[in-house]
Amino acid sequence: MVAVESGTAECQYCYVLRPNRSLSWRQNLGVFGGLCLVTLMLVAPLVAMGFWLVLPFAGLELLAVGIGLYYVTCRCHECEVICVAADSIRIERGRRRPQQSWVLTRHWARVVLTGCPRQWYPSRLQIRAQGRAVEVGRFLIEEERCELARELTRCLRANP
Amino acid sequence: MSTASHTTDHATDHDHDHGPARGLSRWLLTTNHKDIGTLYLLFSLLMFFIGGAMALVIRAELFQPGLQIVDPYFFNQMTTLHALVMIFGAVMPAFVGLANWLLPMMVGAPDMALPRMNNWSFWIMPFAFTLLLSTLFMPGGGPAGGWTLYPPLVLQTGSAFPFVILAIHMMGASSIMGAINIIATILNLRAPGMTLMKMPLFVWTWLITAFLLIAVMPVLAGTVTMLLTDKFFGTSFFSAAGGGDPVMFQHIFWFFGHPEVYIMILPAFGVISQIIPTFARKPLFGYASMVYATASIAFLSFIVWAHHMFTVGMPLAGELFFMYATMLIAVPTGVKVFNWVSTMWRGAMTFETPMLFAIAFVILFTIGGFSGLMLAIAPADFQYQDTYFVVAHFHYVLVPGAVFSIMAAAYYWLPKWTGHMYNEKLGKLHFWLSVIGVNVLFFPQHFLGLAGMPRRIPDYALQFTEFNMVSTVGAFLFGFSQLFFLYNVIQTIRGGAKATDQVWEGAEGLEWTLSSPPPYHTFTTAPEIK
Repeated sequence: MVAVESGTAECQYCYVLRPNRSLSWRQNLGVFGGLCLVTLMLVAPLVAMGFWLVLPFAGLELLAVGIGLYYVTCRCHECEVICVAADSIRIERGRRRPQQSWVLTRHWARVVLTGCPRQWYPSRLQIRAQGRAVEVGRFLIEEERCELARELTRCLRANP
Repeated sequence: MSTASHTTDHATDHDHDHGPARGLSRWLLTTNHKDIGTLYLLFSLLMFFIGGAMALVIRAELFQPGLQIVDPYFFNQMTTLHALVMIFGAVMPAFVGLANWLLPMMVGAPDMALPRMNNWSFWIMPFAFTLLLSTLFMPGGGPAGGWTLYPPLVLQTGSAFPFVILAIHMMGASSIMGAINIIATILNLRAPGMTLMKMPLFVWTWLITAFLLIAVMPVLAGTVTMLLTDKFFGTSFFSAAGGGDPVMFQHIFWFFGHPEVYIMILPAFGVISQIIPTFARKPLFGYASMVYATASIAFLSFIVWAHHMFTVGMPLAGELFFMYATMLIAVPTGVKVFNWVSTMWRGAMTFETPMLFAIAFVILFTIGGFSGLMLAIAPADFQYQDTYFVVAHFHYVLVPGAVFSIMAAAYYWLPKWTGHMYNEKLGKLHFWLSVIGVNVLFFPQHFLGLAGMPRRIPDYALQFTEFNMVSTVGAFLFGFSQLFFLYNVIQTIRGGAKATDQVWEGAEGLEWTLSSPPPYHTFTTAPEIK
């Protein structure tokens, strides 16, 4: 999803990009907690009766479930902010706070949308300037990525 | 100076100039949910024919009394491997294949949440089953103690034993990875507006099935590992001689095994709930009650396991509890059957092949359910236990139940997957031969069981001959009629009349808004949820 935020003093155009997600961190945690509780409720009586070999398998499985849910939740909570100012473009990427950031010179910036001719992979959107390239919106669907490319191009062509 | 380059035009080009690269590496390395779904379904079809061939060996031997074709030990290997192959190799992978193909399209997601894990979870399966089937050629032959692996009998297996246990572990790992992927996809990647109570029933039934898998798979893994340590490491978990309890194995096994039965039938309920409204041209009657009924069945599946073992000896209170808990399952199941029939009631029905299979499912699964109720009555079960009545019961649930629903799903979604319509005449011929074959095969087994014929025997008393002959004729009719299905599927993949996007007039859901076949990367535009 792409949200356009109104301009501020240091940021003329601001685009906030987020992947679609249908469950929050807290809800994912709830699902995982529920799964742990149910599995342990089923396994605990067996362990108490001496059939302890069920426990390591339950532990391994819950670990796999936890890693899987954590990975998906992290990806679903990625956020990219593209801030177009008078002279520069600041791109920030992270989850709760910016973890990576790039500053490109606006006057040299180009928006490049490349797509595999056979669409084996989704298209890729990059902002390039002075030999540097930053990819944005990998998690967007095609329509949103194309729309963002058009929007960024329009914004870069506008007078600062 | 700012310019924009756009090297390809993505807004057009959805139908022809797209798709994966050719070659083996596409299938080995793919992370695409449609490719992996196809792999699962083809693998399942192969296993269906291998397991089916084993069933025909069993039925051929039982055509008349005496030992004609195979020796008793090989017969027991066939019964054991037929069950393992059909359960873990045919039915479960078929439903996982359907889930892979359909869940992302139904919830409006671009792919499964964990695509690489999806690839691993499939590619474990061929190795697991190669290992399992290779045990037939090992010293001492394959496992012959039945798919339930009861000790001490199963501990007499020859060199094959550790390989069987490893194969079961691999199948379990594959199932767990599939379940994690399904839970993560359904919960996290639903399109905006797709609330839980707007999800198609197939999605709901798979979500609940995935939770069941997560809950019971460690129990299976732990149990078979304890068998392994009992045989090779001197433990006595299930050995009476060392202070263990072999009956406890049965309790633990069926604590996994009964939810496993529902793992094989809940997605079938989902498939039927998608197909009947389409061909009745009415919305599903009682959507919410269907969801709650599915959840109730899943819950009850954890508290009924001992109905598989009434005769091993347990307190009267235990027998009563498990008897009544088992009967309770008839309530949510009855809700489902009522809702399917109510959906058809006064609908503008047409009877294409998927609908024929769906109607046969409702009728024949209900027969299997009723014989299940008979078996649930503890005092009566002492008469039926380990007879052909039990064989007839679970085959009515699994063949015209799970397998018919898979066939219904294949005919229903095949035009969407391939972009071609299947041969309807051939489909109907396949249906009628299957439905006649399956009843000729399994219905007489009720009578055999009531007359006292035990299961898992290669020879029998003379009075059982006629019904066994009829059953074997039905088996060969059912078995060979599946070749029509195979031919129809291959023909549809290779070409045929072009399918429209919606395919069926009454079809509703996000998957029908996509082109037939759908683009390799689904949802290039945001799906609209009604």
